Amino acid sequence: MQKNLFILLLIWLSLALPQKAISQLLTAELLPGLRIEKESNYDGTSLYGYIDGGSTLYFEYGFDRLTVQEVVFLDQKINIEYFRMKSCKGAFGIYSINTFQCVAKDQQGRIDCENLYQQQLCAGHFYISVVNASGTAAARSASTMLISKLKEVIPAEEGLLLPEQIRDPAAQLTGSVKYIRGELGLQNGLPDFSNYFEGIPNFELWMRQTTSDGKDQKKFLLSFDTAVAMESFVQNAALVPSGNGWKSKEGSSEQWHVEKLGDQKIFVEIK
Amino acid sequence: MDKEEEPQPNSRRNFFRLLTASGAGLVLSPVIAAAPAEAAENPQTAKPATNIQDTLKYPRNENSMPGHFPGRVTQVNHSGCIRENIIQQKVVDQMLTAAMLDLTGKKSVKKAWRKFVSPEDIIGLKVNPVAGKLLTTSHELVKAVITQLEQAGIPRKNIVIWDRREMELQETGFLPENYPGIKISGTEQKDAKGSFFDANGKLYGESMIDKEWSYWADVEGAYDEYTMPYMVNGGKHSYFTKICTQQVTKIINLPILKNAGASVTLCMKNLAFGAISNTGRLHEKLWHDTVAEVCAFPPLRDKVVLNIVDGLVGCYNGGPAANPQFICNYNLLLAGTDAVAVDRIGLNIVSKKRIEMKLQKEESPLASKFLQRADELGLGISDNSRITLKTIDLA
Repeated sequence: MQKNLFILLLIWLSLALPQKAISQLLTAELLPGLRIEKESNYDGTSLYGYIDGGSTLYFEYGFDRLTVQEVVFLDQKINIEYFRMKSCKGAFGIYSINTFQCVAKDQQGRIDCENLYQQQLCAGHFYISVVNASGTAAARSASTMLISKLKEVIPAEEGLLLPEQIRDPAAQLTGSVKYIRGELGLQNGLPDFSNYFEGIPNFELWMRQTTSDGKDQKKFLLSFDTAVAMESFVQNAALVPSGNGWKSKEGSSEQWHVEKLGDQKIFVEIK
Repeated sequence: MDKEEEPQPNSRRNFFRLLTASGAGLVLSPVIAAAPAEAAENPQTAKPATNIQDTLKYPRNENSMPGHFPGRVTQVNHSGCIRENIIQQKVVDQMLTAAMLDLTGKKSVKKAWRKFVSPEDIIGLKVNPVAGKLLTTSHELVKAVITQLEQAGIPRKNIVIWDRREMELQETGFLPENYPGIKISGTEQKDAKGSFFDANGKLYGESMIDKEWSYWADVEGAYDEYTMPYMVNGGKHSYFTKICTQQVTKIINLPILKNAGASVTLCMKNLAFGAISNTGRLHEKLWHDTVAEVCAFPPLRDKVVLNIVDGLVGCYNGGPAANPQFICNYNLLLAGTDAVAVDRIGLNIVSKKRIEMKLQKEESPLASKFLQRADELGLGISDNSRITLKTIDLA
């Protein structure tokens, strides 16, 4: 009986804890001097009302809900978007394709980056974007303070598990690892790969990009929902059999080495 | 593959799901009545059917796309059109004049505009405010167009600035005080109290859609109560706004030079997704088809006489939303009657910028699918080798 109660408690906690996180938005109580001028909430398809067609990308990654705060802090007008996704993977996926030209910070186990106009943070189920319109030093400084407070408020859950083929504890995630799970993710995060996935609606793609001796190297872990879909990918990429997998044709500009990890999964290295 | 978290955008509140008047009791126009009845066999990969074939039966007129100048695009560049982040009205006036004279081959602004419109026309200026103040069709371009229309003898009362969402027009400064004497209208509307519903609980947007004209597609639009005001109706019909079908006689299209993923959202996207209701259902499987096919319906095909792309400020990534990091000054205008050709040139410019910024190595073949579809429908020319691009460098 006690064991069952304990299990029920665990289930309740697992459901309740992420719900609690959404209430951990920035407030004037948490950050004196912060003035929230407008706060809007969107869930389900109501995201269309906020970003119209742009919302389809978020649906692809498993959108749960969004809170948008228009705030004034240290005389700077700043827009904060808190996207809560249905999984940590989904939150990281959105972060990973939205961080082009965003300089990685990634310290103390946090996943975040900044550029002139925007600071981005991936924390647990949340993808958070803090945007200032001016790009001035004062606006960036104010944004940095907001992000710092957010890091205190939203814990970095341990929910993001990278596949071992992509894992590298010594390397940063921002800018080097991408998670893609659909056509729109490809178009936005890896457009040069779009052709290979034509006619393949369901897949997962993890990518780690590294640079060695000035040359880019990429590793991919690809999972498909059927063996047929995997074969289609191999055909679309014009690969030829080699060992326990495939490789690119002789004379190709990129050298692909593809290892078959089952009927629906492959590991790709491109040099 | 991990199945534990498939995206289900409307699963949380399906019990609120609303299917409005689209399902029953509507007046059947020939287009609606002839909607294909068969669903696609494989919903995962097959393309849903649409009623495009029925609309192609309508006879074309002299204004029908691609208009007076098929395959011709004029690009006007001016490095001084933005100074200290402020768009220079006088420079934009010059750029527009140069574009109009070159495109039409006329010697005066008045004659150039009268090639497309007359004082009897009600002229709709289709702007694009969806990304907010940072990346809306610029007021400088809109004001330049209005000034030149007036020079061509068009009274201000005959000009309508329009888009899908009236509230976005207001947020981006398309307000009566900034445009005295000009009507500003949107399909989706809120009242002064911020409500989408009138005293009878009816969406204001419902009175703005024309059920005589519908883009039918075999994809169901099902929305919760919070989304419905932005979609106006659910179901399988997307109705055209009365602004297009009843209120204006000519349309001048003023999109912005923006990317949409590796593709672009320019002339045809601005028209197609801006002119119909119930668009949410069309993004996933029918984006390219919708962009092209909706433009083939007479309310757009026969009324859009001119496209002027606002490329003073644009973006190359993060679009169609406005991410300041990716907003850039292209310092140009594109003009043409052929929306397909103008979009092709716009795609060239945006793709070049994306390649230069190392976002991609080459143009994605998928990026131009909507152009090919529009070409098949006879709306214009999508092949670079068949387009005549005239570039004018003013400074």
